[in-house]
Amino acid sequence: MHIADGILPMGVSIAADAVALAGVYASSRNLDAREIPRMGISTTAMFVVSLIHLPMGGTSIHLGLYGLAGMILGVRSFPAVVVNLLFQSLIFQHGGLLSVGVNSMTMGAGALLSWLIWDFFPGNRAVKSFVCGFLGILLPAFLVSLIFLLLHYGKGMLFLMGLYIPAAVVEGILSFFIYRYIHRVQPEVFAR
Amino acid sequence: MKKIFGLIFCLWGICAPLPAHGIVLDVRLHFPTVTIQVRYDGGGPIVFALVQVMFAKEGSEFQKGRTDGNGFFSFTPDRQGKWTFSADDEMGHREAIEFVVDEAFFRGKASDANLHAGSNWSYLIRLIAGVILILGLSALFYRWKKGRPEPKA
Repeated sequence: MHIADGILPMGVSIAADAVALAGVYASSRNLDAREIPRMGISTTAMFVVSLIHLPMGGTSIHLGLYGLAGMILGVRSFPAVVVNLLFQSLIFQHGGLLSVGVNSMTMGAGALLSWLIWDFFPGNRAVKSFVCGFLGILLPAFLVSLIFLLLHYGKGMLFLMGLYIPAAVVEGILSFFIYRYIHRVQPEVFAR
Repeated sequence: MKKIFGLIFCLWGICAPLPAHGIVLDVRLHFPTVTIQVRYDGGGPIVFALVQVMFAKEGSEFQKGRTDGNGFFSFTPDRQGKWTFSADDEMGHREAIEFVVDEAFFRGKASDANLHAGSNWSYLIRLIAGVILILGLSALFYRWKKGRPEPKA
């Protein structure tokens, strides 16, 4: 799901980098030092879990934990996603360095949607943890497939979405269990 | 906090043996063909990946097609020089490699020079480096943001 360099026109990639940078600035304003360890640990969790790949349909898909990041960090999940993608690009060549901006916006959208669901939608938190995990990866997959559709690139929107639905279910279940675990051992992690 | 770290290390333990999905290209030059395997970082072949072969000097396309069911693609170069091979899994992942076809190749000498595009660092080393860098930078940022602690009187 990480877009490599050379797929998007360079102007679009650079513009997306600028927008992502502005997003990092806006979402990091009035950052309290006490939020940083939580952001660091969430970024590490995203970095580690995104290396779990499920071979599927002759390709491989991966988890992201963007939903969980949105639940834990709220709006601060966006800079965490950007840092995570930057290190993935630099260390694992997952996604192009120039494409970090567009990748951040697609994957950051999943984290921000989860934050909105988690903080502003009423409902049982256990159920919401599954929904956040599920949509946290499915929204980025939808946005990436939409970009590919506009570029006339790839195997089609339905193919990509079809691949990511099982990943979204896995991610929803994983988010549910992680939520339950953290809620039991350190419930203040979800407090804002 | 220890338990949260424990959770991350559990995830790390799960993911360490699993394949990542950066693209790796392994090139074998063996007269009369050049064979390239296109695979994901952790070893899984990329089936039916879109590939393109270019003669680098002229920048002209020589051949294009798709890898087979095991991620292999072969072609027969017709001249000496620099060639470029690129692969795209049509999921947003792309990689390219440049290699030289020399006179020895056309004399029928088998070349054991297997070229490889992708990082030479092991997967686990990169994973550890990434985790250390992210946590280390977070600690530095925290220290900077919090400021120096007041010395005790």
